[in-house]
Amino acid sequence: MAIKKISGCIGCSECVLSCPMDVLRIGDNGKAEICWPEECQICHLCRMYCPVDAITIDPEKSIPVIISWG
Amino acid sequence: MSQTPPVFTTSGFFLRAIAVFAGFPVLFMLIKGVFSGRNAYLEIFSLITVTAWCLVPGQFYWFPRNRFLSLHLRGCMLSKYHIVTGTLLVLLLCSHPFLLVVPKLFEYGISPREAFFTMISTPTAGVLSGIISWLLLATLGITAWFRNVLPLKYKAWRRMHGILAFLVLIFGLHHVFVLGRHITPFITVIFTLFALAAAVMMLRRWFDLIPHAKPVRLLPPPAVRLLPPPENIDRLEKQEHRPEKEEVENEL
Repeated sequence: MAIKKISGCIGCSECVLSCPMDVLRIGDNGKAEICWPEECQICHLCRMYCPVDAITIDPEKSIPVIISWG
Repeated sequence: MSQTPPVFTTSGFFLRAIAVFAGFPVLFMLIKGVFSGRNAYLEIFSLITVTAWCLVPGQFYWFPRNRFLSLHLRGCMLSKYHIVTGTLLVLLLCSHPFLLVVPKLFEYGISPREAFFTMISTPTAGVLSGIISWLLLATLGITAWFRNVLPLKYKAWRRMHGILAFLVLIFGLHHVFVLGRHITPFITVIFTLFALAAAVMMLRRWFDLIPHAKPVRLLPPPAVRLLPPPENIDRLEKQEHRPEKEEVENEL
């Protein structure tokens, strides 16, 4: 998972709107939740568009690296 | 005979109180390792804000008429500490919404101005309680700094100051619990206990449950303090010899 945690979310939906892969959604509690972590491309847009810096991106890439054999 | 009055910056009681109100929660947060993952600016800024918030309940304890504290520190020292700490708290806590968006200056994405307006215009419970507590805190600071200008008697102002401070604590506590980044069950319990202790102190003062005992005098009475050392008394008496009335009449 690339998004490490969401802490201090105010529920403004900026991250949901900025995410190109639809990883984040607003949950029942009115705050952003990570719904499809495997889709995250670590583009950092959600972090950059969050007005209160609530999103922390994991520096370690967890997406498996595709090795080309050709 | 004369006991030197302790200065608040060097008194052990002051240091212990600071450790309880600020050091203990911050130390626990550091041990728990919740300060990780964000850039250094935001972590330091969070640490300062959390420390400032931890000192808010302490302000209910540090007041000049606190009889227990008057055993350790003089009233004027307590008053000075209350004013200095209160000024720092108001400045730090009122500026934290603006400082929060400063990192947006250094990266692409949302601009600091957009981030600030998005933040204050998001109608959630945590944001609303934060805005209310910010307004109350600003009013508290302004009415304290310009107390002499206000058309209020001291007792009325003191009552208003206490009510405003208590409201700041209640709304601020809700804001911290909903949006605080470093809130753990332990910190929640600590903050609640501090707030309850502050409420008890406030109610005791409002209903005059604190006994009006004579405060302990750490200094000797002013008359004793003004006396010169014993070895100089004879010399001073000779210098200050005034002629009697009869002597003056004889000379005339």
